[in-house]
Amino acid sequence: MIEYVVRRLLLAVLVLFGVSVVSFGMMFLSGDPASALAGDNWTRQQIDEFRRIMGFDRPWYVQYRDFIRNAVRGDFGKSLRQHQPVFGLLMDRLPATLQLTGAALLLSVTIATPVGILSAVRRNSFNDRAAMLLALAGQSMPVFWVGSMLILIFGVRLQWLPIAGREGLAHLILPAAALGFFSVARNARVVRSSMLEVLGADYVRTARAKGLPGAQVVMKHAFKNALLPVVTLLGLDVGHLLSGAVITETIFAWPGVGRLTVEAVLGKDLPLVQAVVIFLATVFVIINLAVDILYGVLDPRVRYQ
Amino acid sequence: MTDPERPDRLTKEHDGRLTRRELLRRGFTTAAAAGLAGAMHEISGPVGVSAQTQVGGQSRLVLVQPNEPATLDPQFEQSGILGTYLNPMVEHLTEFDRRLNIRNVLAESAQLPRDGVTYRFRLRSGVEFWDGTPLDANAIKFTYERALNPENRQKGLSDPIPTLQGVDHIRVIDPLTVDVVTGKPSTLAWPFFVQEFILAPRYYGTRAFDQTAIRPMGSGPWRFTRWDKGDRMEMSANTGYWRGRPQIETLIFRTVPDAGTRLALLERGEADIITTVNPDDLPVIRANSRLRVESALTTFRVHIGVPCNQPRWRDRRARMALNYAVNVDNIIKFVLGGLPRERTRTPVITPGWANRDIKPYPFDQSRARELLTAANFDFTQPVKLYTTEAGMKRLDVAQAIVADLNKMGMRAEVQVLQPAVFTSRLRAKEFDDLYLGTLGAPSYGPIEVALPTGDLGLDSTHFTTATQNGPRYMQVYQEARVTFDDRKSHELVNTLQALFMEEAAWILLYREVFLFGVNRRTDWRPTEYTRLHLWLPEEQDARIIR
Repeated sequence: MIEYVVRRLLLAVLVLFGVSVVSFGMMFLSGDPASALAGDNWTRQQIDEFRRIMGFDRPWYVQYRDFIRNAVRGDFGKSLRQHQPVFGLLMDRLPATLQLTGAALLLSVTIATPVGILSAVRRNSFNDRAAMLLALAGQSMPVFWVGSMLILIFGVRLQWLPIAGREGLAHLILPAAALGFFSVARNARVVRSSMLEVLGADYVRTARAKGLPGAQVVMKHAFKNALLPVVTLLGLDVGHLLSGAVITETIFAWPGVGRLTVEAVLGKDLPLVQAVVIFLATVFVIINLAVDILYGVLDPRVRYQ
Repeated sequence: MTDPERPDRLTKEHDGRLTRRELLRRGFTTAAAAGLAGAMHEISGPVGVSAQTQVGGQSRLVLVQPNEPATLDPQFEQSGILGTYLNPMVEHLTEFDRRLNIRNVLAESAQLPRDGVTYRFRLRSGVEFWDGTPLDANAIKFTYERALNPENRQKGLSDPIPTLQGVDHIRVIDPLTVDVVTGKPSTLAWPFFVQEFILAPRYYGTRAFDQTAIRPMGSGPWRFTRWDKGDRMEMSANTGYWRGRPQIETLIFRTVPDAGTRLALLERGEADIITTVNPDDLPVIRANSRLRVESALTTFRVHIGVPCNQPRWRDRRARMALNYAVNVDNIIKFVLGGLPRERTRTPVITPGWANRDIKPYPFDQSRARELLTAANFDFTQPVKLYTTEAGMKRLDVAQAIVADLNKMGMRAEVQVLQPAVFTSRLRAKEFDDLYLGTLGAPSYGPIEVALPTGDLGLDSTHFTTATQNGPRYMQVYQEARVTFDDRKSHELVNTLQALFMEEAAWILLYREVFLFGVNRRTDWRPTEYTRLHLWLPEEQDARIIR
């Protein structure tokens, strides 16, 4: 097990190294970073001075070394547009994104799992077909459309829920529903198909033959084994939800990291873009590392492959 | 006791005690009910709360916009949105009124230069910043010196106004009298006083830039309360404001990027004014008896920039042909729904300053074809029209232009660029083909003729260097910059407009329109100025009708 975890950790470090190289290389895509980042009315002299202050006049490997050294300490410099420490800006917005992503994930797990299990247990019933039809629809609808519809129905017509901003729990409901909608649909289908496969297995038939209650067979014997693909998907879901949050945050005016990223990209705020890229990549790598380790715990065969 | 149907299952009355399953079920139900009750309590609060709910017996106004400034320090960012955010809180020496006439604000009187370089301001007495610092001549001196300080500029401070005005130094005459002295005479200096925010010396002189970026200090009708970045900024009425306490007690600026969500907030009564309304949504607002549409014809001129240094556009006849080839009236009528009202005729739009002798080009594609043939235009090479998607129906306008050009036998196509890339190319004067640009300036004739020179904004036409009239234009422009005589100034501005139009470096299209959705209880009208004002000199502030 330890060897398995160490191997995964080394791979994660390698991925993060790649991300840091790409993130650092973004600066040089447009040629001279000082000219690219300069304000609209800057003179040549101001641009030269800016190049010196930012250290763009040094060899690239020296710049990269300092970039990594500072990044490890959480120091990504100051935002070029907001004139605030980048790390602080990121941390200010992070709770909103984590709250939204967490709520969407929770929604996905709490709805998709029972729906998937029930669909599998009552295969080909009316409920199963209805659930799978809804799941298909859910997977086919883009998040911006779902978001707009939720606003129109629950915000404007029925006036049940608030539609923009982040003030309380009520403000979280619509954005979390919009963001989690796709995941609910996909995960319900995966849980169902995974359960169907397991329910047909010999050991489940044996369990039934031994006279165990139906619920116990389903939950204890079948569901535990059907969890493997679901756990994998949940890891990927975090990445999907974090990236999907950009659109959801825009539609619902949710002040999270997604909108901060869009603002940084449009405002050519490179230190902020770099910090966001590295931070989100790190979160994604850590979650997937955790999923990989959990996978090894759930299925010992994985560790020996 | 066992369930007769399922002998393996114990019933809940088993031994008079709860089973583990029943205990869990009840626990879960109680927790769910508590959670739901909590959620409903949270939900019942904000929903349906009108934007104009009375707060402590006073009213509040909610303005919803698609974006927010990156910083609240006016010397670090120059944008319409920052102007909108700061105008309620930080004031200028002078300000435009509704008709774009310059009026005194913090200045009680202003004396235009007799020597060509000294602008003398007598300040209002009794005006205070919120921190209790009195507004005096030192505040003006501090503001300009902070903006011009080379050390500050190296740290990213980028206020261009003192440089555009050519300010050399500030002279304090007495506590309420100050001279702003320019290095040499310049007609550009006077109108730019409406844009320089006057800062509180004690606050801005002792705070680091990362503090002034998130918390402003001013003397305006509303005081800063809080700014939750990405969400909202709140201000409260300045009870000691020198023009009297504003009627609106709480002012809230919310940031909502999506146009549909902004409209939904207006429909729900959670917003009083929404900006940047999608023209397609106008019928929704008009159909609602509680709402109304407001529009403002801004000073932004939408035009096709023609890079005169490129071989195919070097011949003046080819550029003139574009004027005949594009049916601007049809674009205004059918693409923009008639909102811009009419085609822009001259580069100067200030009433009284536009050259009346300049006539608009008629739509005449036969004439355009003749001119292109005479200019040996190569129809086989593709023509690109660069644009961004920013602005009202900008992409649709670009496609309509391209359709007109293709009717002429050209192989034109639209190339959409990200705003940052577009601006970057404009700044580097790198456009190799046509681009759909906008340029705005404070409405004042002598300033507007500076637009094609690149002094005030970004222009990639190379008009001053690559056309026959360019050098002459620069010569007359330099003369206009130092001419204070009104009659002579008008003559020079007229000459400059004629020289510019002869070269057809811009194909003038229309003035950008800003659209607003407004709750009928809000007494407010927009101006042509590119910033949104909730108060104007010599006019009642925005207010809520009870």
